[in-house]
Amino acid sequence: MSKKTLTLMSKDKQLFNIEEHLAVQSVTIRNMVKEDGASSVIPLPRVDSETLALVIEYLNRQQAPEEDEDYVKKFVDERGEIPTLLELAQAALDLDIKKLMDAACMKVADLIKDFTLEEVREALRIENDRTPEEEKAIRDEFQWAF
Amino acid sequence: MANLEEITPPNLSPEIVLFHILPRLPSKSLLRSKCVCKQWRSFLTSPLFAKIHLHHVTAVDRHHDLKVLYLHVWPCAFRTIDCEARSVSKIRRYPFARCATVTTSTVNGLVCMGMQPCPGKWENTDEFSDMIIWNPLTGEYKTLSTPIDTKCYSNKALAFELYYTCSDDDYKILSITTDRNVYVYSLRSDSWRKLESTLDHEDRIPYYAAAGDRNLLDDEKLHFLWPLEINRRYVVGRLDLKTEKFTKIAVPPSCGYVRLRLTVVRRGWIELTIFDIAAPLTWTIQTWRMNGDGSDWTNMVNTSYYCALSSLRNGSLLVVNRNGICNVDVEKNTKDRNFQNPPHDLDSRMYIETFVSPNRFHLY
Repeated sequence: MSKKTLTLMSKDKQLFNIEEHLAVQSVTIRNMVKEDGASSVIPLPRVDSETLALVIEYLNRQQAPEEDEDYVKKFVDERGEIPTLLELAQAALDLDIKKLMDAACMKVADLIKDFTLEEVREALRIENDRTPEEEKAIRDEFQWAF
Repeated sequence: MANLEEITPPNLSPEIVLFHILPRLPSKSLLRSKCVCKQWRSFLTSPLFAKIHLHHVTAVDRHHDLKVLYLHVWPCAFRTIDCEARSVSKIRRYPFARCATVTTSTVNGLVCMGMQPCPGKWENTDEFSDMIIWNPLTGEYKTLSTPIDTKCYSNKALAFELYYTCSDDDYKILSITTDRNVYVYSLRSDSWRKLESTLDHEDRIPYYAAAGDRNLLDDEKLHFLWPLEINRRYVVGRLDLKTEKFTKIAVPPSCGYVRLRLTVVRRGWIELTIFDIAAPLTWTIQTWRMNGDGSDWTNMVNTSYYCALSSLRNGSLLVVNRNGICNVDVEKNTKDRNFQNPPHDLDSRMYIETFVSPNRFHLY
């Protein structure tokens, strides 16, 4: 008997096949399968195809449980670009794949921890809505941290 | 590979950044991050963030970035030593215009200190003018309400333990006076309460308290070393905070110790450090682990170091010896390179950096 396969559809309407027993590592997918059998295509309207390909690569890993920790760390290390990691973290959060999300967020935190304020804003696309006076007040209060 | 332009804001929820990335940043980066934008500033100062962050730094299953800091306290200034990054902070002044006399205990990044009023003037008095709970990272502090019994503020009151209780999400201080009266301060209600103590008048006073697990006090029990007689014998005792009863649970393995310290209480384990001065001019430290009911003692490590500070999460033991601070691998009985000269005040406390506010129950 062949293993049951699910089809996932990315934001840009690309289709990806994955065996059900691997896909259900995602709690979100597991719940969908439980509810309606998910015989048809599962749409993932927030995940683009590049990110979904990464998620599928991760779900398809063939790792012994004791090596899993190292694998997921290496997996995110190899994708060390912040935008990619953010997309991956977001997809892992939406799909509820805890280990992948933890690792991706940890990696982002690791990359931005020594950034300047301007670099943090740029990397996370945050608009600076602080006046120089406000910034100075915080700088004065926590001078030792700057 | 996606570039910056391809990340569209609706794709990235604020949740991922605020709840999952920020709590993983080191505390210094977080203080700086308050300048990033208004949303970050208000989130980083919220009780919700303090809670998420605390969960991250104390979670047992985290392997990364354990920061144990050594709070080195002087009358008017302090510094911290990061035992893992092996760096010493700049000396910073206290945010309060008083002198700290005694650091009694720390939990979840909060420090309980006994104070005296005159800044810049060092006097050794028997009583604290007041007590504060202070977060050295954020600088926030709270002066406690006056206790019903002034003997609570006597620095001869040997047990003075700040601890956290999960069941009512409260920070509390246990104080045992020389009259064997037992009081509990609650941060939530900012008030003192007398416990119906079961301490016998024949009993000596339990001391060297050690709260649990830095620190989720799941089972609501505080442990003490309890002097048995004059001749340097101790028993491990416990106060059940639900029933408010003291019990003596176990006598540690016998040896010629002069000083003992409960280093840390982990889930199911109590670690006890014994300073043995049996041989002249040599200090040895024995570290023992006791299971919950005291029926089983395991000798973990015997070393000739000065003082064990704390167990680190990777299982190694942080010790102070004559040449500095180092980590001892308990399993292999090996130590790594020393760093820093030993701080002379052995009463300095282990501490973790958190954003828990001592004013969390009261708006200032």
